[in-house]
Amino acid sequence: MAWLRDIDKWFAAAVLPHAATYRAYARKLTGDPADAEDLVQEAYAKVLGVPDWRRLEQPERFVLTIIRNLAFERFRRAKVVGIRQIGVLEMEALPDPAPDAHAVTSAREELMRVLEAVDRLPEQCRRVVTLRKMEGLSPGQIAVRLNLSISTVEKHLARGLALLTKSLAASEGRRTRSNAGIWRKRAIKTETR
Amino acid sequence: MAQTGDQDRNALIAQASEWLARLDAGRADPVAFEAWRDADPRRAAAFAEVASAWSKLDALRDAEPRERPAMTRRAWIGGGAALAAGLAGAAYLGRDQLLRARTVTGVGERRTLALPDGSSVELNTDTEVLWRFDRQHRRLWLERGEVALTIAQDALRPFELFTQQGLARLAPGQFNARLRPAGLDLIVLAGRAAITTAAGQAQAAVESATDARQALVITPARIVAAAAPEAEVQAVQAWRRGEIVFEGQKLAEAVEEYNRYLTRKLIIEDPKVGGLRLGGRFLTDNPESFLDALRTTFGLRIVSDGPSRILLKSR
Repeated sequence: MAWLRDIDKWFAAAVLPHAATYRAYARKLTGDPADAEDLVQEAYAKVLGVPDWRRLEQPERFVLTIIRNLAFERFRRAKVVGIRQIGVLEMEALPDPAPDAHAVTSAREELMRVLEAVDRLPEQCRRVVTLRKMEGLSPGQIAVRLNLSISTVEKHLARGLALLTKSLAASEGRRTRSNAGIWRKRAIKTETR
Repeated sequence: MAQTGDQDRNALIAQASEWLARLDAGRADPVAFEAWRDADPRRAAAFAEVASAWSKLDALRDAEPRERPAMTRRAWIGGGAALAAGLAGAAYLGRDQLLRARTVTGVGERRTLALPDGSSVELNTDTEVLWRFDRQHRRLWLERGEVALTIAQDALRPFELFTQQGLARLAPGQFNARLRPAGLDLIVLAGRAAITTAAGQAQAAVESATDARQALVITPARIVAAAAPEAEVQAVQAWRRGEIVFEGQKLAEAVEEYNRYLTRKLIIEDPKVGGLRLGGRFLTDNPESFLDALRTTFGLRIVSDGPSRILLKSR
């Protein structure tokens, strides 16, 4: 796609697949889904502003670190901080997103998720999206086929795409929610020898 | 500063989607688009996310069935549900790389896999399954770990569970299969199971709620079928809730069991400690409570030993 710069392609390939881990971590830190979402978006924006992005070896850890720093920043500004939150922040360890995010989704499962998401679209949206992406018709051809104006086709596509982006992100979240326990293991209190 | 959270994200994604649809239709002004995107890195992030969903949709074209159902184009377009069903069918009757799907859990992770026939597979920690459904068969391979199976009715396609130990044919019902170093434990909670291995064949059935649950213990040498001990039934129900139950096991065994869920393994330093017996119910994702119990009840010292080990010592 000509509209994507190198940094966008890298972002989609290296950063976004771990979205569920970022959200879960941010939720853990903030205890609030809306705040968490905000942190994740802010972290994305920061990553896309890094001039040396090509040199980042573990972009997903970089994002998690940004999320943690942003959370710290907020807690410092906040007047009241829940004890639970401080406890979480005391942990040095970041969650380990490494093996799961890509590996566990087989091509087939991925396809199923996309199919389910498409299936949940409103009727006309689904029709337009399917004609565009499955039948490979151009927006102009779809307009003729369905007797709509091009701008209406465009609106259906945009609406469908927005809904799909969100529902794919949400199903990603469901899939990895059981991972949320992973970093708690690192909070084990131990003595030193 | 932007507004907070979901609202903000919704707005950004809606805008990004509009841009993408307009670009796709060739009706966008590239300069205006670049200006929009450059003005705020959040927009660039939202656009990249939307573009990634857009390319995921390309998989739909790859999954297109080679032989279309005998429908006219118009009927095809009209039948939204039929279309989705056709696609779903194509997805598992279709291409080679999609034939056997693989699902894996890491250490400490649990997942539920919903199968297209309505059956479900719950994967316990460190588990790997492959599966493939076609017109004649429903097949699941347990490669590693432990699964709880809820098998749905399908008179035409038997459900077959393959392991290194042999093949189990499962009637609708509930089962728990766990691979151990020595072999396979298959617990029948409800329903019927028939197993065939190199060593022979055996069957077990639990027809009603009052029947005793059955356990098939399968090793390369033989198959032993017996009523399942209550502790075992408890254990297979507990893990699905993220719990682990000990009822008088030796600490050495309990730790071995708990270690399945831990990336940082517990090591008993002192053999005498391993002989202690304990009881209790713990959360598999919260070893702290387990260690607390060991600390307070048995007076053990919990000593960190690097990133992969935790030592249990007597005082």
